[in-house]
Amino acid sequence: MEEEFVDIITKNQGIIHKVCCIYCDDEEDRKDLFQEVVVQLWRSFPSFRNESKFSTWMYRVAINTAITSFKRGKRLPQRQSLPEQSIQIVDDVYDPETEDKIKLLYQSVSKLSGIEKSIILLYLESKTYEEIAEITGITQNYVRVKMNRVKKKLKKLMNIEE
Amino acid sequence: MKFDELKSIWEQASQQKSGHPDLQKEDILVLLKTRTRSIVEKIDLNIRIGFLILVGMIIYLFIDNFIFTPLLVKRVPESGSYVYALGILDFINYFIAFGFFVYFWVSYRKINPHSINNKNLKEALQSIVRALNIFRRLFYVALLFFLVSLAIGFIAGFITGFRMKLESLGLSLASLSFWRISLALLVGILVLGAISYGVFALINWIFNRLYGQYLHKLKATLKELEETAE
Repeated sequence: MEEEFVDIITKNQGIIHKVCCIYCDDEEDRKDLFQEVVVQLWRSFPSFRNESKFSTWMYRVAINTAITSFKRGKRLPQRQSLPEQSIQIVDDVYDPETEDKIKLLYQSVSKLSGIEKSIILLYLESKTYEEIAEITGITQNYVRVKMNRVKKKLKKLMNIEE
Repeated sequence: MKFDELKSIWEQASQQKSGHPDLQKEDILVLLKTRTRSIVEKIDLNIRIGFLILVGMIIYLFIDNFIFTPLLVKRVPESGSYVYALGILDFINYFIAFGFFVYFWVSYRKINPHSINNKNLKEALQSIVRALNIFRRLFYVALLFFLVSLAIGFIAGFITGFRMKLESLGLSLASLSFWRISLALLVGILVLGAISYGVFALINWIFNRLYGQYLHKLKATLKELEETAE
């Protein structure tokens, strides 16, 4: 089972990286959270019974771990700005405009609360309202309400036109 | 920039991985083998230790009060019916403490914080908040039990010592002035009060230092999630 798990995690590790990027603004914290998420996924792997999509299950465990993780005075849903130097864009084709946009997105998202981060992450990952409701435990209608509020807030933070 | 562009920007950021290299299977295996205790496991361990301490304390004080103390009290002349009355009070104290212990244990088993990964975010937050509240209440019950036990021991010791002293001096209760007895009682109450406050403050400080801020943040997150549903 361990081999199967490692295989799946290796293929889908992007999900964990994305959650870590959204929730941690420090490289060390990202590494810690990555490990914690992998461990939590491994522990709950035997109880995964294909009742939901594999990616939904991964997001659920990863977001639960990120929001409930504990580091004295650090990491929990904070509203601190992402330090400039922590964003290192690695790309073969350097595009300063894209880089600026990515930086702005990360900086704006880092100002959101833990719940808002999860909502916007799942929106950006094109998850359906049904999946977001399944992950967060709120109804689809309230996901819509919350989504609109978060979008509005993010637009304001990023100075995006309507 | 338009809001709809965000998805494509996110997609690009994800592809670039913001500097994160892909981990190989071997790296994942290493992560699994070097794992540390998660917060839920730490809380669980603390709660189990708390339960053990409470049960240990109940058993120790029960043996002390109902086996060793009666042996000692037999040697005290005219120990009287008050010892019997205090014994009943003490027994009720143990009974209530044990009742609370069972209640907390059953409540804690129902929460099953180990299964938070099989729950959605809201349920996971509720489980951890409940577990931490049980942990805090367990502290308070232990404190209350300890204080009642201490008060009963103090009263028993006070009365017994008082009687013995009177006997050794060949005095009767009527020969002592009211203010002297009152003063002795007042000093005893003040000492008890100071100990109670000290222990209470210490317990509060320990809990807040360990999980105070964490619990506060979890509650705030849960409130935000529940507010959405209003």
